[in-house]
Amino acid sequence: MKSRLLLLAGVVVLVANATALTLVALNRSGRPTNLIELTEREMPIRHRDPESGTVFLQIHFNPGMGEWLGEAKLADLGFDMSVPINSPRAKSHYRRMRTRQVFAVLEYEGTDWRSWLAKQESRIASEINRPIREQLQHERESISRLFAIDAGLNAAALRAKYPDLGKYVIAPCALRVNFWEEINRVRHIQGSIGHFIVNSINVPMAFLSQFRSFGNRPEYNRPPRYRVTVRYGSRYEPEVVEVKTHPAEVR
Amino acid sequence: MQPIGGRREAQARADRIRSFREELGDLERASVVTLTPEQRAQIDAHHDAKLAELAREFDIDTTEAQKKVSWGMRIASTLGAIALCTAAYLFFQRIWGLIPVPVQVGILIAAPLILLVAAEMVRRRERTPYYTFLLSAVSVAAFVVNVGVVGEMFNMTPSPGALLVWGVYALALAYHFRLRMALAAGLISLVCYFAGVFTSWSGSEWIDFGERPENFILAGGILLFLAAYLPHPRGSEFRWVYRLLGLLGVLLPMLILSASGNRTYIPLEEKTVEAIYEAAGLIAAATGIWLGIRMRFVAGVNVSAVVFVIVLFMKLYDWWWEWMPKYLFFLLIGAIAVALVAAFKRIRGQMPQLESV
Repeated sequence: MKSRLLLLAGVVVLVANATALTLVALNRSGRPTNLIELTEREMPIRHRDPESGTVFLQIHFNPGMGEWLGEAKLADLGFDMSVPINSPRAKSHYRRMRTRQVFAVLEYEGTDWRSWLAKQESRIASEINRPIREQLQHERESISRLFAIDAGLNAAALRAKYPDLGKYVIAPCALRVNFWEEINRVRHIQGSIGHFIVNSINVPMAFLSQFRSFGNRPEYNRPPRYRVTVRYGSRYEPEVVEVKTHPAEVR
Repeated sequence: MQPIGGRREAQARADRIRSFREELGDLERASVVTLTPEQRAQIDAHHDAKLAELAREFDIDTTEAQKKVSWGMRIASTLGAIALCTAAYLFFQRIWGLIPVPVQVGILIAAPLILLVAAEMVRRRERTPYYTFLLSAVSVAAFVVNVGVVGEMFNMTPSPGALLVWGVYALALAYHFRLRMALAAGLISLVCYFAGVFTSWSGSEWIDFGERPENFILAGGILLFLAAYLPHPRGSEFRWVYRLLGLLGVLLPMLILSASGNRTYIPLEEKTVEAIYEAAGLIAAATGIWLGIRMRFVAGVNVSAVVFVIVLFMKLYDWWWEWMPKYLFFLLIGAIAVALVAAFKRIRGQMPQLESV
């Protein structure tokens, strides 16, 4: 019995690692589900370990206006929206809801981005306070150009609707329901995309030297320092497959 | 006489023999009882043989001085385990960027296995459990790091499966090396695994399992059931861990939900849920005190009593704080506290032979 427990422990270690590595291989084989090139604006450095030199990037995106995530859409995504918004039970019912995992569609430099950019340019042009104007200019140069535009439970159906792999990222995300009441007692329900399920991406060893000279934070009002090509596999797990740091390539 | 079920029971027996010798000496000096030299020699010889047998088989402390040294060894081995884990982690962090990925993966897989083999080799050569504890604790930590780092390296989707394998590994080591800390770690990991799976079935992200304390109540009940009906090869040592974790699994969620009724699966108003769990918490805690006395489970009585007092005072605050003069509120709280002390004193009087478990 005793040696069996020891054997069980050893088998658990081997099986766990074999399973993990098999899943990694499965993810990286076959056709990618996403293949997109993003800059430091969309994938800033989340963490860099000075001892080991490892670098983790994080995906930043804009949840966008979010009007498309209304009650009907939330019901399609599996949330229980059966309680009427003006019911006495509504507040406790909707505030109690936990996040759900869905596939989100994020568009790179699409309609929402151009709309936001136009508004930002208009604000910059009309702002007379210099520090505020500089801050608005900084936002224009640094904010992520990935905007969430859709969500669903079936990734294949979403990809059929948004077929361009280089423009639309479809990845598992956490979606939450927001319920709030204004002072005049008008109530609102709207969903928002919280975070990617795999939010932190390890930079492979082959590219680490290119990050060696970078600090963790981007420089204020300077262009992005790098471009990375991110490939998502069949399990929607990302990997960095290319890094460009030459200024001509990054611009 | 019942066979000794484990090191804990052996130590308790040795402590009783030592206490008996001290008390017998006091009684003889006070001339309450007088033993003939033959009777005294027989008792001493029996106890000396018993202590030698227990020391040989279970490596227990037969004197007070040895006990103090053993405490020092336990503290040292725990600190040593933490220090070794930290040193290993920092060392690999240092050289990680210099090692190719296949070597990194190889090191991560080999580390827990090598430490496991080392722990087994030490167990066969040493009677003292401290080195075995140290190596097996570092082995469990190495496996946790193994799974976590592989997941990070390859950007894998977080999965409750990690909790399952960690739990099974820790339990295997716990039962093989008879380590209560590994047992507790393994059971907690498995409880979290089932809570995560249940949360994902309900449609939420599995990692939010802590947001619904009810996920743990069923698991706590299962642990209490296993404490009662699962055969435990070394007697009370492991049963104590199952009981304590089971009790915490049942009572703590009730305590949390009695204050935070919005974190429930029950589709009722927040205040209604809080009232339900206040009542349930008081009943469950009172039941825990009663069962703890019956089963001579001191830790269970203490945990249940603490939960009972907290829930009671929360309830009194809800009832009285808003309308009662504050001096009167605290006066009544003080009076209730005095009444509780009297009640617990009476409970303590009903358990004269309670084991210090």
